[in-house]
Amino acid sequence: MTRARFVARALAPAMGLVAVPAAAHTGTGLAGGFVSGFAHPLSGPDHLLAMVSVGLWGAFLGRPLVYALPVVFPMMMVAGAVVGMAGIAIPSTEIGIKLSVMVLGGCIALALRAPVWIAASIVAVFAICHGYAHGRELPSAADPMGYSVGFVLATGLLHVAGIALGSLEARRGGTPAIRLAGGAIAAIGGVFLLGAVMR
Amino acid sequence: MRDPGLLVMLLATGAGLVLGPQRWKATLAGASASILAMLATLAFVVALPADIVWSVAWAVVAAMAIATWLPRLGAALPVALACSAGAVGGGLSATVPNQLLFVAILALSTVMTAGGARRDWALAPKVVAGWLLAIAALNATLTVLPVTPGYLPDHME
Repeated sequence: MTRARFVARALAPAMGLVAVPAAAHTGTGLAGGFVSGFAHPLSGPDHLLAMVSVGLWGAFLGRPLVYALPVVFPMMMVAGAVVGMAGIAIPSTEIGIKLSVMVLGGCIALALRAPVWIAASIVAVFAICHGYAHGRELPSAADPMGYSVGFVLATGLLHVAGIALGSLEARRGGTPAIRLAGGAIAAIGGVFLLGAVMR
Repeated sequence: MRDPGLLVMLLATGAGLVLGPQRWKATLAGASASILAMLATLAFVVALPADIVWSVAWAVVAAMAIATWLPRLGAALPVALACSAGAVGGGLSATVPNQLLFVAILALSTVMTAGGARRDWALAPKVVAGWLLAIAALNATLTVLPVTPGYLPDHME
């Protein structure tokens, strides 16, 4: 199946998840929780770039990682979110998040073809950091179920966006363009990391 | 108060994922069984303890997500899972006023998801199943966490 079809197939069932009742108070209740959760990965450039990079790297690596990475990441992200919601402290997760952008961008830029277990392990560790941040930043008035559905769905859709970008590899000049994008992501990640370390 | 609409939608999405790759007769039978099970539960079953129903619902979502990854599913298991999803959806909707709306949500989401998963038994349903499993695992765990602020009533409740 072509990547474009994959993206369409992933979006179609996911569209079954989007109808939620409106709530009068923004950020509260189920709908508010869903909106808050959905917006959370999109609101931070570090989260956004890392999620897209996971999809992009998976697309670059091909089967089975093209679908394994978008499965591993949400699963481990949820583990991190549980830890965050439980109030357990994990040190340096912010640095882990910034590092994820740099490392994943670097993997794309260097066209790194890692074995399945290494790629999955790298993604799993970073997913815990991202999930922890989502869990810790659950708005106090938001419905946790709506929030969790929101941020998992947003994360998954960003992975799909990365996979869609990865489909450009098949086009003329696609691979250099993707590697250039990876380099840009890694550079931005480096700036983020520097800022986090110097704080 | 926990709104069951989203969980009913997740149940329907899981049902659609397991039914989609089946032959159209099995898909139709499964979708119909799911809707009928929900209607039967609403009509004949008295309200059950909410915590138990919600826990069972998350278990069914997780089971459907895992079933999506199984190589050889047959026709019976997807239909049984869809039926379970409908029955649990009915249990979740038993205490809400607009029950037919939830039946419609179940029906529509099941059909849409089954249609999306139907053509190619390949990557996309498995990825979406991963998302469902992650959501189910997180929400099942929430029940054993310390009180999360989100479930405390606000001034409107």
